[in-house]
Amino acid sequence: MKKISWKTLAVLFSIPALALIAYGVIYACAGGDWEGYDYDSSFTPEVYVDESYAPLFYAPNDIFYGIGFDAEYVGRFNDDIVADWSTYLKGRLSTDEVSMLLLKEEGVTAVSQLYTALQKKQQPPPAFSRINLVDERVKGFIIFLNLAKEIENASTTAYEWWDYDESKKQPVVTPQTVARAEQLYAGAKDEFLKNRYWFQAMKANFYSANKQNATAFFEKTRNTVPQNTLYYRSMAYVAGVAYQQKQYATSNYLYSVVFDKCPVLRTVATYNFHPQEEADFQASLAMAKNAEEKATLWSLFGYYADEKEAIRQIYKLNPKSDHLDYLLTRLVNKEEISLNSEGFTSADEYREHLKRQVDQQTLQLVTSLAKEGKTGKPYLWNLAAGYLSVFNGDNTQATQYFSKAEKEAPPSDLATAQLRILRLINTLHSTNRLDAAVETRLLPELEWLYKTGDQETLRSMHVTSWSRRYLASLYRHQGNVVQGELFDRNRTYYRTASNLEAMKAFLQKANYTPWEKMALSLYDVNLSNIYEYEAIMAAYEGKLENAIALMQKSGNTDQLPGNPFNGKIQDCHDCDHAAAQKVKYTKLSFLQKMKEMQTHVDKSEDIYNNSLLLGNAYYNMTYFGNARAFYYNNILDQYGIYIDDHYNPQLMTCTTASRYYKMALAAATTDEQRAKCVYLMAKCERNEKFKGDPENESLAWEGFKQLKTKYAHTKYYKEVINECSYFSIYLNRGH
Amino acid sequence: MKRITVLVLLSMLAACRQPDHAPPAISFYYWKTTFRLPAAERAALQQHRVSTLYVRYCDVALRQGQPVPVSPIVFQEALPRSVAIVPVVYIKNEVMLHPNLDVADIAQKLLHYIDQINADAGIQTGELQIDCDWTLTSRDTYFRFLDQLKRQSAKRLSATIRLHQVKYYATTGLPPVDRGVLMYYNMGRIGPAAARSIYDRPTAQAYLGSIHAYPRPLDVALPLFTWAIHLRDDKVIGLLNKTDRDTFANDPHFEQKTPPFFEVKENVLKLGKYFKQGDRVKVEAITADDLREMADDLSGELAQPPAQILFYDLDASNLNHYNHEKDLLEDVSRSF
Repeated sequence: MKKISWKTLAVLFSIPALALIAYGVIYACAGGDWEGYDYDSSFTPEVYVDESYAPLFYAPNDIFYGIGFDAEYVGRFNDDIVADWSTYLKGRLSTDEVSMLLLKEEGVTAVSQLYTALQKKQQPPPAFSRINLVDERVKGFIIFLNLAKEIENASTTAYEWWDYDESKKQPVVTPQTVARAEQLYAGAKDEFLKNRYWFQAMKANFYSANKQNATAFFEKTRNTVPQNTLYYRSMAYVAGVAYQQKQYATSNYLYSVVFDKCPVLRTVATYNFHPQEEADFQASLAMAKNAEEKATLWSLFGYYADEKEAIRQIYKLNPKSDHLDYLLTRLVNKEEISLNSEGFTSADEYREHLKRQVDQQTLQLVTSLAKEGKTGKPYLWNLAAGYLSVFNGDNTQATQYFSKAEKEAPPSDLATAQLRILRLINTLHSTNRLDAAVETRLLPELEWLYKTGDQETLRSMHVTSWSRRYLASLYRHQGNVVQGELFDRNRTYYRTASNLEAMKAFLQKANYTPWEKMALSLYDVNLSNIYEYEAIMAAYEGKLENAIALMQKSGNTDQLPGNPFNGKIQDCHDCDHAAAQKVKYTKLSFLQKMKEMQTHVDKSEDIYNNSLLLGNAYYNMTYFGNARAFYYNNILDQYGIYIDDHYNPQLMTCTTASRYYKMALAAATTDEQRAKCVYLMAKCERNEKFKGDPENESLAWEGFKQLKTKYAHTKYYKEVINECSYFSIYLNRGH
Repeated sequence: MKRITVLVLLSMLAACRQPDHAPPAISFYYWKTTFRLPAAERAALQQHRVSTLYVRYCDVALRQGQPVPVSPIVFQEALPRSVAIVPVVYIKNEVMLHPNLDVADIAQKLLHYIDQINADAGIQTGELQIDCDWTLTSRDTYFRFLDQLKRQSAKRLSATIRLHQVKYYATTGLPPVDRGVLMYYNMGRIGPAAARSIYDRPTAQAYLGSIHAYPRPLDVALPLFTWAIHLRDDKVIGLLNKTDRDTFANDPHFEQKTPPFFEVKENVLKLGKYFKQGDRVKVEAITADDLREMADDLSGELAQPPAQILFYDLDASNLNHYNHEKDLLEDVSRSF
C-alpha cells in the first residue's frame, strides 16, 4: 500500500498537544455515525466569521473543523500554480496543457522529452507537436519544469509502508541541483520566472540534506522578492527548520506571520505552532514588529490555550483585529456546549442551574466588549453577548443585544436564521407557563424551526430537540400530560392508565387548534398504535375477547411470520418463519383462533389438543417463541434482545404457557402425549431458570425428570434425545 | 503431638521461602525511536550484567484501514557486544480486530521488515516478542497470527501477557508462544482518582491469587518509569511522559497541597502544554519499596520462578530515581 510522503512534516513539524489528544479520533465523513456539530450547539460560527478561519472553529472531536486532518499537503496549491502559469503563458499554451505539464504523471515524461528536444534543438516529439518550443516563454517554462520535476522527486515521494529501506532512505535534493536552482534564479531576467525560480531554490535547499541552508538563502534574498504566496510558503519552510533546530521562539513567530498573511496556509501554521515554555512564547512576542504581529501570536495562543486571555490581549493591541472573531466563536461554542449538556425536568431548576454554571468571566468579557462597540464586527459581539446573557437569565438584556445585532449586521439568510433561533431560545427561556396566548405567540417561530429541519451549516438540530424538551417540561409541570408527551415522548407514558386514556381522548378530538396540529405533527404514535398496545397487553392477561375487540379497533393487519401454534422440540424461529404455512395468521386472526380454542376448553371439548395448542400460542407470544412479532408495537418498543424489566411478566416468563401444558398433561390419554407435555413444560422452566452455561448449571428441570423417569419408552423420548442436547447432557449426568 | 507437627510444618514452609536457584537475569526494555546509548545507560547495562535488551522495533496500527508499521526505530549506535537484542513489536488490538485480516501476509511482511531493520543496523536476532493487549473478540485472529510468525520464522517467540489475561485465561486463551512475559504494571485506570494507574496494590491483589494457576511459565516485566496526568475539571486531558515530582515541585506555578496532586496556581506554558489555573497534575512514580513489594507479592504466587525480570524502560531519567539504592534491581531479582 503506497503512502504519499509528507516527510517534511514527519521530520520537522511538531504535533501540538491538543492534536495528539484528538489524534485517536478519525473524522467521519457525512453519512456516518457522527451526529454533527449541532448536536449540542446552536451558535453557528460561519455566520459572520471569514471562511478562511473555518478550519479553526471549535471542533472537539476533529483536528480541524470540517476537514478533519489536513490532507492537502501535496495538492494545496495546484489550482494556484495552474492559474499563475496559464496567465503567464496565455495564447501559447492552453490551461489544460499547462495543467498536464505541471500536475499529471504524463507531464513528467512530456517535460523530459520536451527538454531533451530543446537541448538538442530538435522538433518536439509527435505527441507534443502542438507545443511551440520556439516561443521564449514556452522555452522558459520547459527549462523551469525540468528543474522543478527533479526537485519534486524529493519533495513528494511515495513509498511502501512495509518497506523499511524505502521509508528510511528517501531521496534528497543533491547539492548540484541546489546550485543549479540558485543559478537559474540569479540569471533569470523575466520577473515572473525569477520569482518562480526563487521559490524553487528555497524548495531545493529545504529538501536537501542541509535544510539550514534554506534559512540562509531566505535571509539573503527575502528583501528582493515580492511578498506573495511563494514568499510565505518559503517562510513556512524556514519556520520548520527553526523548529527542528529547537529554536521555538523563532519558529512560532514565523508561523504566526504566515498565519496572518497567508490564509490558505492557516491550517499548516496552526498545526505547527507549538510554544514549549513561557520563555519562548514571550520571546516570540518580543520578535513581533508591531501590534498586528503580536495580536496574531496571541490568536494562535488563544486557539491552543486560552481564548479569553487571547481575546483580552488582542483587544488591547487592536480591537478591530479579525482574529478576535473566530476566537469569540470558539469561546461561545465551548461555553454553550458545556451548558447544553444539562438535562432538566423542571424549567425553574434548569434555569437556576444554568445560571450557576455560566462562566461569569466569559460572560463579562463578551458583554463588556460588545458594549464598548470597538471591535471590527460589533454585531457578532452583540449576538454572542445576547446568547450568553440568555443562559445567565438576563433575558431583557439579551433582547436588546439581539436588536442591536440585527440593526448593524450585513444581511444574509444564514444570519437571519441564526438570529431567529437565538431569539426563540431567549423567548423560551423567559417562558414560565404555557397558555393559549403564549402558544399563539410561539407558534410561527416553532413552525418555522421544525420545518427548517437539518441544515448543512445552520445549527438547528439542537434547538429543535431542546425546545421540545423544554416545552414538555413546562406542560408536565402544569399537569398537561398529553401536551408533554406530544412534544417529548416518554417511553413509560402509556404504562399509566390515565395517561393512555388521556391520549386516546386527545387523538379522537374532532377539531384541533393550530398549536395542537403542530404538536401532533411532531408525534409518532397514533390511535391505532394505542389500541394495538392495549390489545397486546390484554392478550397476555388471557382476556382474549377484549384483545380481539381492541385489535379490531386498531385495524392492524400485521402478519405473524411463522405458525404461532407450533410446539417443537427445538426453538428455531428462523426455521419456523421459513417453513411453508397453509394458513398465515395476522395478530387478529391469531387471537380469534385462540379464542375458538379457549371456548372448546371451557366446554371441555378435546381439552388435550386445544390446551396444548393454547400453551404453544402463549409460549410463542413470549420472547422465547416464534411470534415475537406479536408484541412489536411502537409503544411497547421491545424489538431487540434486551427486554425492558417492565415487560418481564409478559415477555420473559412462560407461566401461562406452562399452565396450559399442565392442563393438557392432565387431559392426555397416552404416554406419547404426556411425554410431549412434560417436555414442553421443561422448556418453560428452562426459559425462566437457565442462564446459558450447560457445563456449570443444573439441567434437572421438573419436565426432564418426568420425561426420564416415566416416558423413556416413548418415541417422543427418543426424538428429544435426538434434538435436545441439554436433555442428553442431563441424562449423562445420571441424576 | 499435633502442635509439634504444625510447628515443624510451619518451619518447613518458612524454609521454602528461600529460593535455592539462581536469581532471574536482569533485562531491560528499550522504547525509543532512535537507538542511542549514552554513558549512563551503557553503564547500567554493564552494572546489572544485562545480556538481553528488548528493543521496540515498531508499532503496528491501522492507517486508512490497513495494518502498517508505525514509527520504526533507527539505530544510530551499536550495542555492546555482550548484549543480545530481542525485537519487540507493539501491535494495537485494532489490527487484530480488523475483519478478514490476512495473518499469514502480515506475519510475512513483519518478519521481512524486522530483517530489513536488522540488516540496516548490522544486527542478528534469534527471538521476537509481540506486545498486544488482545481481547476475547480478537483472540483467535491474534493467536493465528502468532502461529504464522512461528511457522514462518525459526525464531523463539514470546508475548506480553497482562494480568487480566492471566486471571481469565480460560476465556482469553493461552497464546501459542514459547514464553510469556507478565506485564505487572499499567493495571489501573488513568483518571482523576488518587490511586496510581501504573501500580496499585489493591488492584494487583485482585489478580495475584490466580497467577499460580496459570499453566505456562512466565517471566516478569516491572516498571521503572514515572509520568504525570494532566487533569482539568476532573477529566484527563493529557499524559506527561518522563515527568516526575521535581518537574513541578520546583515550579512556582504549581503547588502540591495534597500529594500526589499538584494544583496549577497560575496559567503557564510548560513542556509544550498549557496549564490553566485550576488544573491539577497527578504525578505517579514507582519507588524502590514498590518494586520490592511487587517482587515479594509475585514471587509468592508464581508457579515457577521467572527466568528473567524485564524492567521498563532503559532510560537514564528512570534510573536516576534509584541512584540511592545501588543493588535495588538485584534485590528485586533475588526475591524470586
